[in-house]
Amino acid sequence: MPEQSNDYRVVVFGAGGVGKSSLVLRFVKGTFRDTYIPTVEDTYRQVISCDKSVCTLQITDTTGSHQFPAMQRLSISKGHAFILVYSITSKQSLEELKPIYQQVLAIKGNVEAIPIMLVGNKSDETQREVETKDGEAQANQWKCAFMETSAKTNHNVTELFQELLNLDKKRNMSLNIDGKRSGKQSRAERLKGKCSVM
Amino acid sequence: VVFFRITNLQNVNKQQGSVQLRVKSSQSSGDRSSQSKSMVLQDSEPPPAPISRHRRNQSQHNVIMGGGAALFEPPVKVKGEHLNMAKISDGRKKQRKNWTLTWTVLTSDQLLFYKDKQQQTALKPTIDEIHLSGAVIDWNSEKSSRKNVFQITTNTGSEYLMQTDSVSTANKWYDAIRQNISSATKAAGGRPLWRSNSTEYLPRHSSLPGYGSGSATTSPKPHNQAHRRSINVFGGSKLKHSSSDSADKNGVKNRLKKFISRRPSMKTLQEKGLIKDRVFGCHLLTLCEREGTSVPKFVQICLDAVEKRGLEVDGIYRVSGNLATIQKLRFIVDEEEDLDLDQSQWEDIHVITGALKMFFRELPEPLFPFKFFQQFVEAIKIKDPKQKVHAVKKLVQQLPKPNRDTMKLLFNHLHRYILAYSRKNLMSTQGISIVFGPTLMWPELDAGNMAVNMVYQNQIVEFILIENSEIFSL
Repeated sequence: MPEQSNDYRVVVFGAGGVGKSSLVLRFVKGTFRDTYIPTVEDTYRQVISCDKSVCTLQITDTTGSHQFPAMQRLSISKGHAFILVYSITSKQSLEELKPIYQQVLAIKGNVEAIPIMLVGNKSDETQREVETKDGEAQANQWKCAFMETSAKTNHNVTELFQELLNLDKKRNMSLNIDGKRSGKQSRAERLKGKCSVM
Repeated sequence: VVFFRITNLQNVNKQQGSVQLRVKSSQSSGDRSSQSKSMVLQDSEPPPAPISRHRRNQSQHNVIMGGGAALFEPPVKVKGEHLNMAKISDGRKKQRKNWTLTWTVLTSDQLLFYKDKQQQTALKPTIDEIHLSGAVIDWNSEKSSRKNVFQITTNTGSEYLMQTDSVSTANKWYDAIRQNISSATKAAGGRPLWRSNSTEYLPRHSSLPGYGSGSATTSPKPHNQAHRRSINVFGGSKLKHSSSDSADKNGVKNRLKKFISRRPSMKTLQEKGLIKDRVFGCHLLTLCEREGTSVPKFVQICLDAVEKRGLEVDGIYRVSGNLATIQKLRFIVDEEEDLDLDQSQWEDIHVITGALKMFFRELPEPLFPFKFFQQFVEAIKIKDPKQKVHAVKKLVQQLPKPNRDTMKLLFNHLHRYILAYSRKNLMSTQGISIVFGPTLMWPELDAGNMAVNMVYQNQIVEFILIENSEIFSL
């Protein structure tokens, strides 16, 4: 597949079981599954508008285990924007983002211009181990954005992706393809047909 | 809005584009050795910042005081505040962690704990006191679930945890105590003995017996307990301190030089039998032969620990433990020190499962030996279920005894214990096989397509898991 210049690649990182796949699936499909299957690596695509034209938002859902550092490095070097997910029910999951952030920093050099969102998922859970202010403090230290979400209750999920796209100052991106909402179905069909040729 | 989902490699053939994607990732992630290397400390690479230090870095930003500058600053004067304290070890003896709120007072060379403020003003005896000279302080997020915890280890080896809910108070105390430790230590002419939390970043062979005894003869012997720690002194704090003290500088330099040149070479140590083969990274056959078992002891104790206290834990084997703690465990295992997984520092079961998975990943030859890889792949492709079981069983029987026995024990553990508690720990057959597939088998050369291999790796593990009792004739 030739490198699509107008692809915008978002990579989701985080420890095992924090809900990376759930977040992505909630955003892409609008569903929530209670299944608990470890991800190896999944990629999802969604068409968004970018600088008054369409482009593909490519979301890479990574594995939460430490087993594939090479894959992690590849995802980082290919990624345009990053979502770092932890679970508010696990302090350890926030700790585990630290080496990942360091890795992003090491590969990208300067992270100031790169959209990064720190996400505390499972905000619907009551057994909280990480307070909102702790998440905020971490985000401040990393100079990145912060949000708490719940893939289960669909809290802040779309906002998360929109906010992430807004963080990119070089492009003007939006999840909505303006004025095309009504023709969504037929449009989807057309695009699908086109994509399968690639 | 349109989306395409590219699933866990099983559907790779459905969409042309997705196959390409996989190929791309497999090319640069093909180098298997790089994977295990990244889990091990290398001298050339800067070590990953230890987790426990993050907070400290943060505090250095917030507070004016920096690490080096602290050496020259006068000790911070007496202050009192209510802090939580728990003594967790008295010398070498562990104690039950019991937090108590104490009125804490810092003097230039002591940290005093009173029951309350009145006790201090009335000059009543303290509950406890810490002599700062030679003590070590570090942030600690492992030994307690509370936040802002730091640990003070005295030069007699007693360990205290201190905690308060306010970040700024904790930082203030941390910095003040650290500063007083450093000045008290200097005043006493002693040196900090060890850094409690940095063992995981030592070079791999730091605690070899030869190394330790060598340091005892040529460098001033620090009055501490473990060889492992004496090296720490040597490599870390001592150098730092002597460099600030120019009078002593040359003497130390010479002693160091002498010490280094006198050290026996790796080869002589091996010949003398002082270096043993390590556990991690040791070939399974060699390890079993040395231990006189057919299943490595380390595997056995990990499985026992999981069966004892991990069966109902969410995502057991999936969730990863703190990598720094895993490394610490690995060092201890490699040094063949006595290991008690019931100790509080191994409290997090994910550390144990993580170490076990790391053990398998770092085998020079995987549990499913290289020459069997392709045969297992062929066997799993068989359509007829009966024939498939038969073929896999036959292959398993051909494996070397240690591989077969370890495999039997592991799969039996996964099948009988982990899957039996599936509803509690949420791990399904599929989940376990995704986690263990690439851990237990990989091809010798990564010439093939990693994506395709991975599908088979998982399928093979899943199949053996399901047919466990038939395959191992239980």
